[in-house]
Amino acid sequence: MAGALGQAVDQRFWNRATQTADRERLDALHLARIRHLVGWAYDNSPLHRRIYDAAGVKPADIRTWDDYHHRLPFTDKPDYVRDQESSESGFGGLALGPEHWQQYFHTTGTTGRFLHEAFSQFEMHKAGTQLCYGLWSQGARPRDSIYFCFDFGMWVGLWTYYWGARNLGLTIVSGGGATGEQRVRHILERRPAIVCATPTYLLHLAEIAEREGLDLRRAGVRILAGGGEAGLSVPRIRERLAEAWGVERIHDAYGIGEALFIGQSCDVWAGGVHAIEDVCHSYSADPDSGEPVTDTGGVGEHVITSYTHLVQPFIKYRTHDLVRIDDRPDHGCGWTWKHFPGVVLGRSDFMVTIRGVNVYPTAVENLISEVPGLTHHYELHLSRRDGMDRMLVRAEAAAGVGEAADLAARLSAHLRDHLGVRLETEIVHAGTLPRYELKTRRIFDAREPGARAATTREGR
Amino acid sequence: MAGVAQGGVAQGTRTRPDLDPLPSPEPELGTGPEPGTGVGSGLGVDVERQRARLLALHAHLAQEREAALSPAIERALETAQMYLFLALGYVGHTDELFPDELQIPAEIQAAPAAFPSTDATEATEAGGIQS
Ligand SMILES: [Zn+2]
Repeated sequence: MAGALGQAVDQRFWNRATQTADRERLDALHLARIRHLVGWAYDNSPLHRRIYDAAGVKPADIRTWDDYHHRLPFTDKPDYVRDQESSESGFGGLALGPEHWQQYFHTTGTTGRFLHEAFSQFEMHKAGTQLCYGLWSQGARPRDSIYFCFDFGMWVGLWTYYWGARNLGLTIVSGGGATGEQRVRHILERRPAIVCATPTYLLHLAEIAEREGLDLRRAGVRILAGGGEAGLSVPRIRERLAEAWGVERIHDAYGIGEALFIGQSCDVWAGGVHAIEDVCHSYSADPDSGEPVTDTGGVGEHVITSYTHLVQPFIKYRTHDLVRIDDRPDHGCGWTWKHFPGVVLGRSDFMVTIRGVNVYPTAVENLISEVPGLTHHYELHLSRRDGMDRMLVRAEAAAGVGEAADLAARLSAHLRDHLGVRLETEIVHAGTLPRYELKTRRIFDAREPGARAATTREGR
Repeated sequence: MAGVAQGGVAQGTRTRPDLDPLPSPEPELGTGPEPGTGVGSGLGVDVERQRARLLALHAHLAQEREAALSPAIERALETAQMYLFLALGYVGHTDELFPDELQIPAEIQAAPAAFPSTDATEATEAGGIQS
């Protein structure tokens, strides 16, 4: 591929034309796309038409950034969940029907039921391009190989990595269906240039290798690529990974299930990602007032409009991720795209990410109430160890109910079935948990604010 | 080739006629008109030229798809259009958001179905893009 490029092509960037364009030009492109998208969604998505009609807004009213910020209503996950629950298709916010779908996925919802997502073939292609900018910046090139430490399931993130590998021209090595030890041995045998997994799993493989007396540093891996968790924005985690794997580069990707991996780390700044402005628009807003955050360094809720996901449009969509956005980054990489130092600094709701899966306490609460033998008293304990969020569900057995261990197993299985991840569970005797006269306290968050995000300027 | 890419014909159909085009922030000398709307992407002359060539190529593919002799050929060309549309995104194309929005202008559908050259120089000349 490189040989086919003209002499004048700048090899440093995946797509220099837009990646280094000035802010004013980028904003003009965004506004043109957003206006088009709003009109398209109004015509094709009953959910969007209802939302815009209720706000008294027509697509032609959205002409300026002020219109976008102040006239166009926000959308949020509960809008899609409600629409999904009342629709025959079982999908919310649809603008294109099943004849356009290539694949569907689900992401965690807020009520204990999955939010279903559908993507067209073009959208999967385009979702893959989102990964290319960052991987290219880290030095990945066509015919490098990438090893995937995943069983391909219903989580869209991995699939977009797969499509990204295809779009970039990488050689794909699947680690599907293998045990951790087998994967370590595959990696040592196949010597992939890139290994892709969540940070938790990359650490897990390093521990397995150590236990088995195998040295992953001999595999010649150049780049670790991951995302879906905060781990790669934590310096200590990056250092441990770099040491255990002997890698120079660690590629972090930030995404939301609805709009895929829309943030990528560049080669000079670790612990932060650039918005991929070819595929979405990003800004931050005060979670309470909805006003755009305009002061440099101000923290706000990340609000996105996706140009990739069109079967289900996501326009001015609240991610509930708290971010700090640098509109005009100048840290030497050459990208002009907005930068998120520290990636996600927190949440404007109580969502936590457990081993790559987003878990909403509201969903857990609903699911606890569905397990026979439990009272309605429970506590959710959030903590963070080595940059990874954890949740302990402590629930109370009803009087006269049998073995706590059985109950814990039933609760754990129910949560796993509906959330896609196993949580720690503990059953206590009837009457153990405190009863509150006033506002009941059920969520105990022991995580230190700000402990998660730290940035360094080293690219690793 | 003649009649395929002239006068903006090959460059897609504006799908939101109810929306007025906005002026580009700083029109660049020599950037040329944005296909379909008369507004440039503002990303530079080379980028605009490539965009025009890609749109012409898309129209050629669409035309050939219409004349496909088998489902196999039709599907192969549809897939090619998807990849091509990725390239349009990279050059700041905003008239359409995904390939199905691009329509084949009637002038092209009526034109002979001979497969046109994809030579970039020829496309540029036929597209009337001025340097
Ligand atoms: Zn950068």
